[in-house]
Amino acid sequence: MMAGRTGAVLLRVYCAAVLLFLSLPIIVAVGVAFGADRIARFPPRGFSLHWFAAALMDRTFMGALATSLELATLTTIGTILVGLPAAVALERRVFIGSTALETFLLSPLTLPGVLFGISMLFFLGATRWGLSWSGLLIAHIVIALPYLLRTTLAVHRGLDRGLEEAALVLGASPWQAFRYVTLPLLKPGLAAGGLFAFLTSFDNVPVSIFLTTAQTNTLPVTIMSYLVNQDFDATVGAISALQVAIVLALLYLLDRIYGVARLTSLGA
Amino acid sequence: MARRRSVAVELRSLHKRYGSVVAVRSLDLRVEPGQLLCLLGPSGCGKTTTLRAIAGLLQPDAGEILVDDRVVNQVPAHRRGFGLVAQNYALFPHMTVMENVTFGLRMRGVAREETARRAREALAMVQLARMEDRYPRQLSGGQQQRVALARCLVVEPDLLLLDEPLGALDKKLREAMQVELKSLQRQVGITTIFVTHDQEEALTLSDRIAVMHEGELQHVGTPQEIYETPRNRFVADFIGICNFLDCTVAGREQSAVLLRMDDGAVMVASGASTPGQGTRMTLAVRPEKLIVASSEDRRTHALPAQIEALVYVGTAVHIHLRTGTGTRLVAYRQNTTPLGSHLHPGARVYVSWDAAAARLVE
Amino acid sequence: MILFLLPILVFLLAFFVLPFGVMLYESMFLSPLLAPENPGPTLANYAKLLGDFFYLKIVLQTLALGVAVTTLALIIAYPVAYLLARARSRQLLVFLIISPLVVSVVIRSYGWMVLLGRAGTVNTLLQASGITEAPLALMYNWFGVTVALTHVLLPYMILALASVIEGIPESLEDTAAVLGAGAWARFRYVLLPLSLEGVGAGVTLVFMLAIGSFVSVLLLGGSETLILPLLIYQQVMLINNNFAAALGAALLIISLALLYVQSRAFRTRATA
Repeated sequence: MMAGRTGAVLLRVYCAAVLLFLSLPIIVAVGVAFGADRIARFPPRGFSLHWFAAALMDRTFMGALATSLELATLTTIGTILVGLPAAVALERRVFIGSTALETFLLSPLTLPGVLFGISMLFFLGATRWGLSWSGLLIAHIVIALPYLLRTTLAVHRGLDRGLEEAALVLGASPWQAFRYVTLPLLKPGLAAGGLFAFLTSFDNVPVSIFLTTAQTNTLPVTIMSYLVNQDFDATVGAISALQVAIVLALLYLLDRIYGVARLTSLGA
Repeated sequence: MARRRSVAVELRSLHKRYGSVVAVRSLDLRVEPGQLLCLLGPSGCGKTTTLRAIAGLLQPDAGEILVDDRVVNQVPAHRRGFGLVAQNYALFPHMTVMENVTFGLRMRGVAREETARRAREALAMVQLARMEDRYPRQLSGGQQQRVALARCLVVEPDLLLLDEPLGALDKKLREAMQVELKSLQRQVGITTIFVTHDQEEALTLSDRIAVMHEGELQHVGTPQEIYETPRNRFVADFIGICNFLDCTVAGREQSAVLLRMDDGAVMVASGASTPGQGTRMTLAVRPEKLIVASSEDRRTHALPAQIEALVYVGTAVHIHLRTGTGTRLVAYRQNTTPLGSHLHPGARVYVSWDAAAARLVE
Repeated sequence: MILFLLPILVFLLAFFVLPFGVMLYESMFLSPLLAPENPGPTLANYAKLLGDFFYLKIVLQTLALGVAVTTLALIIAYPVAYLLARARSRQLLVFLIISPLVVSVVIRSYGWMVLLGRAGTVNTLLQASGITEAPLALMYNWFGVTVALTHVLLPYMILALASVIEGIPESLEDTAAVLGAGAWARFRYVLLPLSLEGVGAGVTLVFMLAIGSFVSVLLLGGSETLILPLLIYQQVMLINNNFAAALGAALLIISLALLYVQSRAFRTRATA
């Protein structure tokens, strides 16, 4: 319902303001990197790409970026390996009526990351596994799994179960029906879920911070340690800008492949 | 619920576009007090847009909406004092029947006792007196429809707007509700605009019908005018079933126009003015007006054709024909007498009609 | 088909449920630093948490922050969710609302630090326009924490509300308008009651995320803005793991209670 012309305009202006509020800190974090000044300020004074050069030369940052990229990639692969069978099960709607199971599978999404972070820390200690690359990777797979499952659920909500039956009636074996009908239908959901898994791992702090060591520091954890020490220099802005560029590019890709609106619980 | 007054509604050059798509193109229309007018057309013809503009739910880009000669364009929907029954009724699912019906009165700040009294009256009028405490989901489709109507009439609106209000009902119930709606509208005497894509419904209910197509008004008239003398091919085709034949104007014979068909036969049609000889025209004839005869019984002006199929539909037989030039025709023959032996698939027959039954369009 | 679920169930039991078990186990022992002789299982850590007003206050602060952020997010989000739900083309809107979610909280906090610092953008603007003379303390306090957290959690609220508002037929609002309801009455009597389910879902989700968040609080908070997740982090840094585990157990109980409420809400929705 149109709330009168003025009302509609007011609503639009308000929403534009909220959207600006949402993107403001990101614009600022990226913007400071382009300043000529060492002190991070917004709007930046002057224009320079010096801080990008500085960030790219910085061994700590580059090492952390490489770690993060590697970890996120492995997390994506691991998440798909563990999650694919479950995704197939979800596609077949084994879950009807078992909300408890669904709640459990999605719970790593909603339980505070800090809780899982320390639990994993104690777990690795108690099992004498110790802080390690494999422990970090497993923790990341755990927090990325719900995204994969949820995306698959979102994709296959309302998928026509009749398609597979049609394939069977047409003479396909169950394996062929899965291979040529179900799997292709699952693919966009898996691709989107995989991208989400990557993003989740690439961004994470609350879990990583308890599980990383000097050798396995991820990029967000490294940036965090700079900020905790109140070192806001523009190099942090430059490396942040780089991180933002990577995630926004991935989100854009996600949108192209799949349509971001479909990933939310909103209808098409 | 006697009505004190009925309003006249007028649209002047109403225009509305969505982006580059014109939904309604300079529409002029007048509804007289107490009349029921149907806006009829296929989906996307602009009828719902027109209704929503009248209701105040959208602003037209140009043009005026007048109620009793007063421009109401700037009056917001909630101050227009109209009634609307939307598609699927739009009953508030979280309110009981009583709460639904009293909603409009509560919005107007009507005193509690009066609200209750008027709501009961309205529910009694639609025969739902005992359903007060039910929720919409506990009602059948027909009952929901009546609640929507009661909710709308209880505020004594100046104008009743109905947007395909019977579309969700099955055929039998729909026909029953059509009769009920019409008598209720008569009884209350309220000016009503009814949107539908169902031509039978429009013919049954309307005092007048406005046929719309691609945002433009095609023809406004009584149901009989629209059916018998459609202004153009679209109207003839949209309302009921119609046969179309290409032809060339050949001259006049008393009050009828003579037409040369593409296979050489000369046929007749009604028409006050004669278009110039040689003009290409389209002839429109309803299936029930076609007379199918054997060569012995043929009339002077008859078109040779071959029967392709006979379809028995109970009250009638539909005769599917093909002329010498390949045009397909359908003729309805009432099952009052047994079918003659000359009517069988493959038979060569002659098709004719009275001049008054055929119209030249476009 | 249950076979297909085995890998994920085994994985989550081993690496998600078991670690929580270890945490609960750890919470029942005293730190070896405090009690080198290891007196065995004890509830001393919990007694310390419940018996000391300092820690109780932190729990209350955590809940208060959750309430404040959830309320703010709800009020700010509703109109946006409405616009999003009713938008004809929502591609760009959704992109703008989701994109902050994929940018690391650390980086968003960094942006807020630049904006809210003593010599930050906001203070510079305020002083330049003559509204204030001295710079205001906008961060390293509750204000900064609340702003940053509301920012982080707003998209969740918008999406939760929008998905429910979307399901409310527009014709209900239209009909209400024609029946004489103005914009406020339409919100109060039609939209709000019908979107309560979304409000419930959004509120539990945002509240749960708010009381568990720690990066924004660590970066934009100060000495006063101590909440449970931050206290847990500090205790771990102090290698007081066993007490941290007890604090974690407290947070876990609150979170699970909320998760239960949420799953109940979903169940009623499924059967409705």
